Amino acid sequence: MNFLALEALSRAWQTAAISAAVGVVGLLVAMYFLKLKRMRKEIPSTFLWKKSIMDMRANSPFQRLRRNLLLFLQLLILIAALIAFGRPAMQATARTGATYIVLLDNSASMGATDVSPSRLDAGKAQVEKIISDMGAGDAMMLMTFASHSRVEQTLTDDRNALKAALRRVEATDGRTDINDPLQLADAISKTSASPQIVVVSDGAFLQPPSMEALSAPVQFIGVGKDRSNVGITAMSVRRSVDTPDTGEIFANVANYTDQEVKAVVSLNIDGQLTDATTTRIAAGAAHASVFKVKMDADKIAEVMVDYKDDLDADNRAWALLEKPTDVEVTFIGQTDPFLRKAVLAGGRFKVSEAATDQIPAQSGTNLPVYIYDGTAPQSLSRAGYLIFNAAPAIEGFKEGDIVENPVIIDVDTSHPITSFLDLGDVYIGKARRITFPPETKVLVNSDEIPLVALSYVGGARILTVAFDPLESRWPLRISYPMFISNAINFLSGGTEALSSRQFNAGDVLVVPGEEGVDKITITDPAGHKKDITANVSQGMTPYGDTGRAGIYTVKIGDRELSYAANLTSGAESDLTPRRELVVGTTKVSAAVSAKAKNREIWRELLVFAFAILMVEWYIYNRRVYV
Amino acid sequence: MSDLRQKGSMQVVDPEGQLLDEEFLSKIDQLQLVSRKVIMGKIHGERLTRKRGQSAEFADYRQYVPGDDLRMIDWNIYGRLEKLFLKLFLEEEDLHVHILIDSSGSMGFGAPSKLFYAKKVAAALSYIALSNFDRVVMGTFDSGPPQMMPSLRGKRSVMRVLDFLSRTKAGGETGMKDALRSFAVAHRTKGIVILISDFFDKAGHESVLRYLLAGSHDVFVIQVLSPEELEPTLAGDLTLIDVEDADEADITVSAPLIRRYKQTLAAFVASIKDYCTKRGMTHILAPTSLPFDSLILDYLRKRGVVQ
Repeated sequence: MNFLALEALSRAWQTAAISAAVGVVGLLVAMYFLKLKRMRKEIPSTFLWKKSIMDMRANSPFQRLRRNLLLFLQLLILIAALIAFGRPAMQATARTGATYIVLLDNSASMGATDVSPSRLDAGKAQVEKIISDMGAGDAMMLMTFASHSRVEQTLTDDRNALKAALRRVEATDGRTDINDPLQLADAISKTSASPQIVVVSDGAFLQPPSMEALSAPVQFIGVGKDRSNVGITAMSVRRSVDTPDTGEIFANVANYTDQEVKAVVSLNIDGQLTDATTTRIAAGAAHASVFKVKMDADKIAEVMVDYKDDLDADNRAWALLEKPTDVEVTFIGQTDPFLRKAVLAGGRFKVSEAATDQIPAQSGTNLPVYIYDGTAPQSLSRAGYLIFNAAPAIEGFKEGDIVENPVIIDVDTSHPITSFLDLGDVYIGKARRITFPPETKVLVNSDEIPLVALSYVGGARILTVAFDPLESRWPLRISYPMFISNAINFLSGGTEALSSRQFNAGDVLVVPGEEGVDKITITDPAGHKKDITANVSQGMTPYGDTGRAGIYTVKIGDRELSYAANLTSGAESDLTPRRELVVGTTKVSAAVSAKAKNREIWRELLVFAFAILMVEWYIYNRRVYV
Repeated sequence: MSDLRQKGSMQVVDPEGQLLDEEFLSKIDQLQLVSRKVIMGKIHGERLTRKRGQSAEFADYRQYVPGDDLRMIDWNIYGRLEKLFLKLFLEEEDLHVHILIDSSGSMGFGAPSKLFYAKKVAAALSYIALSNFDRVVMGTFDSGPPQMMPSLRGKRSVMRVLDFLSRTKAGGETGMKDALRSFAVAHRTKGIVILISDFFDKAGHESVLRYLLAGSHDVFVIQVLSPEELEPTLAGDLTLIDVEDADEADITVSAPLIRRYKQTLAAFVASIKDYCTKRGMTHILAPTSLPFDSLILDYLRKRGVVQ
């Protein structure tokens, strides 16, 4: 402790002067209260008392000082007040006016109970400590991050507001994306005085920070101490090609503990236990459990791992089993035979043909899918469009020059259309450069141009392939019919295995629009209902409050749809606490607790002095003496 | 005697209560004051003194020396032993009982006050003395010369004693020195001196009591203290004011101070007792909490004041 360390800054002097003035006034008031008012009392003779007092003084000059409780208390008050005037601090290096940008991880792995009561609570305790230690002029901004980041409290020096915001933070079942919050924190730190970024996390990030450097110093508070966890890291449902009313559920169960475990993996269909299997999984290994299921009706499948570990969120995963429905697929204009074959291989599609100017109206519950080869629609309706080697003649799309030999370098394996596609052996001779509207998602990218892209325009879903398959070897590869099948299923609204109605917890849930319905009711896994206004013009409505894994039920008019949100992330299930945060070339070691900062304690001292004053006053009035 | 009881005890009432009641009088009727010294009275009294005299009470024999009264020779012994022996008889004399009461302001302290207690003791001892035809000289004092009653004799004088006592009020400073000096000068007749006081005299007690030694009196010193003085119940920060001279003392009552006060008081009482014992005086500590009956009937009897 560095007592009597006065600040050199003028602001600090002002504070000191105000403190001293307040202290002096307080002392005066204290003196007024402490003024000794002796009661006058008549006695027969004072000489015995006087003799006694003289004897006592003569025998022990300090006796009165030692035994007088009131004097002792008064001295204590005075000492506390004097020390308070010196503005003592808890550390030697004084620093005031700091801006803390706190990033608190509330992803699924922070729900682990290896530290009691949970990693998130431990993290919150650390943040609360920082809030409590904030000095005069310090400010803090509190952000949480999981699948997406969220500002819980904007920059403020109001400690109560910060603590209230901190109390509101809840765990989610989302994955951890550290990049967005770090970029935001970096941007804020550039305009703040004495910024300090504090990351409170277990370090289980989906991807490591991609930034090269941060402009503010980073403090990494690591929480978590153990990695005892067995969880479902992947789950999918596949419909049988031959018998569309049956299918298989794959559940990948990974063991992140240090020894082999024996776990029971069970399957519940609509809440009824349907199948179970006991598996042995070696330390650090994974095991895929396969369950055969009937898919003749709409059902909810839930896979559970019965193993007592530190994280519950990944012990359950959900999937939607949907009965097969026909999809109307229409070839518009000329199409090549490979494409036709690939479409027909899907088996369940109702295929028809039409001229360019004779687009049939939709009839089923699913969206109709129109396939264009070398041509493109001139206008769009609420339907799915699969367009090869052309761009629609509508605003946002623009055809460009021809690119020779583009090389596929990136495939979005997280999207239902392109997941499980191996495009490594696909050679493309020529492709067309197409400019897409801003809200387009590129699924397959080459070194120069996007090759496969998904766009949403109005109520239409447009999947554009920027080359003629006949100008490539793709039609000869197994990935081609798979792509066609996935594409038609997705564009039609999703009736296939990897349904568009299955997503990662924390991601945005896109609710399809319904003609004439402007209110959507969403029921989350906990049973809380929430009404949102449908975005009629866009044809779909995003919903972001999907932090919890489980089944979300969406009511759109008379239609009711279920969506399954899962964690299924190896990065989250691996609870190994990370001891380092690497940002570019900077490595920040994890601190177990918040770094102690200089904190002035004169307020506490004055409160202490006041408390003693009250005790002294009470004792004086009660006439309690030793 | 019964008529006196009716007249005296019932008619004269002190402001603080009755000095003597009938029941108590019946208990002390048979008592008398005792002097350990041979004291010569002025007139023939009812008291057998150690002085040999003319009473019918046989005391001793002694050999005849020329000049002795021949009427006192025991002829029977002469017949047997052929030696002349005088038969000695005890002389019956009256006894001078001087009772001095401190009526200074400090004696008014306590409930009942120390002065009231002192007056009761004085009244009782007066009654005992007068009942035995002793001569009683009663006086009170504060700072100046004592207020002395004329000497009294006979039971009928009890009324006057009680009347005198009931008119005595506490007040003024304690000035024992002047009072006892005046007393010693004025009362040279040997007798019993009973001094009743709290001895709260800032001049000290040694310079005072020595005046009583001058007359070879048989001195009894009764020190009256109230329970509040023996066991103080004070608390807090106080300014103590002396009722006699308005002297002030600031104190903060604490356990060590109370302990020290008790030690000082004990030393004060012991010093008076020691002084008295060494000089043949009898010191009696009489707390006002001690029942008055017990004081007279037990306490003073054990200490040889009455029998």
